[in-house]
Amino acid sequence: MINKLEKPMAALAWISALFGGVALLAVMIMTTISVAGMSASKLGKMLKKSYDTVVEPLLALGPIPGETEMVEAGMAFIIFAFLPIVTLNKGHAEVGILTNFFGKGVNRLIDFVADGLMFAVALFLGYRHLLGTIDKFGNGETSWILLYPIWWGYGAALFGATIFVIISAYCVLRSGQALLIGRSVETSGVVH
Amino acid sequence: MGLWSFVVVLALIFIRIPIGLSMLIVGIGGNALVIGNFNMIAGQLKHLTYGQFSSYSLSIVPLFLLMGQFATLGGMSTALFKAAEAFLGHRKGGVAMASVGACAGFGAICGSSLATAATMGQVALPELRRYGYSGALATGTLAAGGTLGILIPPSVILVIYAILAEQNVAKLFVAAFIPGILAMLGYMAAIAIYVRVFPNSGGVRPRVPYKERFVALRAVWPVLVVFIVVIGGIYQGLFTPTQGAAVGAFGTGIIAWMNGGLNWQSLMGAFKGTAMTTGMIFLIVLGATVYNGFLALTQVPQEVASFVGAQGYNPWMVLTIVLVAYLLFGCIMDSLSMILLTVPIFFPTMMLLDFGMSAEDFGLWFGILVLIVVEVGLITPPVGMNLFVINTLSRDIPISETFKGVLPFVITDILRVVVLVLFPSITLFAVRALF
Repeated sequence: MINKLEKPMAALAWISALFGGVALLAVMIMTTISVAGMSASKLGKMLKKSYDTVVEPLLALGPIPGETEMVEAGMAFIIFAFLPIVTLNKGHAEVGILTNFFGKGVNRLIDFVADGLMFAVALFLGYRHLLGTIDKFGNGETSWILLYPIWWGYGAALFGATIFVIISAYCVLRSGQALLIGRSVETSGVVH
Repeated sequence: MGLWSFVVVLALIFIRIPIGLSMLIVGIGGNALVIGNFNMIAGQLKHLTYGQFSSYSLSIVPLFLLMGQFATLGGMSTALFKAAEAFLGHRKGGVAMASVGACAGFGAICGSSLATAATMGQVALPELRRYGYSGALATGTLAAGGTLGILIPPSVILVIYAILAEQNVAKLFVAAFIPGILAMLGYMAAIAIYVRVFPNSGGVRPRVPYKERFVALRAVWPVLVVFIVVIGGIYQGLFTPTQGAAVGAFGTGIIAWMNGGLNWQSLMGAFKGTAMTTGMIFLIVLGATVYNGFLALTQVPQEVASFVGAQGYNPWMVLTIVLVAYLLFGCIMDSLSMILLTVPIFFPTMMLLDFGMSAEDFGLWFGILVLIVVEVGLITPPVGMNLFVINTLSRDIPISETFKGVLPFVITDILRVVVLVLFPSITLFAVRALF
């Protein structure tokens, strides 16, 4: 039963990472355009000041307003969206030097405990973040420059946070089964 | 209780609980113990996670990681290696030296050691084997060369250090530059000595005419352009480090696309690679934030600092002990976790000691020293990640050979740390000249 879940779970984690990746690409492009606009306007001002040459199109350009705010909200979405795939593929940094000397059974128990703790923490963090979102929704706080409601950023991040909880719950089942049957379930493979 | 919590975190880490998770659990639990209930930490966590993940200064990390992924796809590794080989290949141990040079060049557009080792390994290992280099020297060279990825700016670890120690990222990048070049020269010297002591470990390759050398050099211009725009722009204050990283990622992406390395499939791979490392880093970052919040509550960092300060220890002695501790810890833990776990405790303590320099100079100098000693951890057995990355690329070479081959490089690393400790001006010179 649990083995059948591996594929859909891998797909879910991958979709989450893919959304995060596309958002990261969007942040990258948006920031680059903003930098280009800012540089062009600086160049225009310099030309005007030093050479008394007015290049209208350059002066009309500038950085994208609220660029920093968009980067920040985007990043929160991106990082939350990246967490599930790391968790599913056991990509979190850990120190295995001591546990290499332990038997397979003990290691499976450790996996189970670690996954259980990860699930508990994911659930706790996700729940608190949800409450944080409700806070921001309730108080109607907006960003400084673009004046978009802060809860939008919070709400978008719930996407990854929710999938993180689902994936870490599945990981508990997966390592629990491995502990019971004494055999590890194949993970979908880690990419470095 | 703060000190005991450190023991608990280490105990959890050593039974293979993920490092970020260990810090989160102890941070949350410890906070609840000090306060008497969960209310405070629960209240903080409504906004702390979002706050950390949306931090503008940390947003540089995924962008640099994406840039590293694009750099890997862009075929620049081959161009860099060919150019370095054209100039150095005919010398004794020249192909190995060229690998080190190419790693340094790649480090200028990639902020990660593992990525540098893996990418350059794929290009240089077959060549090294072709010209008769021993397995030990070939893998040792590439594992060590990989650490240049993080020494030569841009560097993800320096970004994290800058945030923890409240230092200027641009200045840290500039400060890392000369030590990075020294590292490269040190590795080349190690190779020169190695092939003279063990003449069978390296073959020779014919000299390349000068005309061809410059043709090969011309192919690396995109690397130079990206490096100058990113680091120059950040240094000139034209844009913030985050903007620099975005522009750099964009530029390397374009190069990769023009070279035919970037298509839908490889873009998906780049997303996955970026996601895996970013997710790993940010869980540790979040864990460290929660744990350090708890530590601040117990006042342990201040107490340790005032205790050490009151003992009247020789500052240089304390520095030596701290650096040796990093070297030893580096053998078993990854560099980022080590920095996030220790800098909040060590840095305030070190700041109180008098090294005869301003607080700002000290922050830069200490950062570079720490960066180097934690990077040594990447090439020291038993868990030097770079050693394993390179070893998986060359299954026929036993890992014990790689362990042997990397030793001379570890020795130059340690010598370099000693030199940089004794002469802080080597690190600070460039910062003073440029800022």
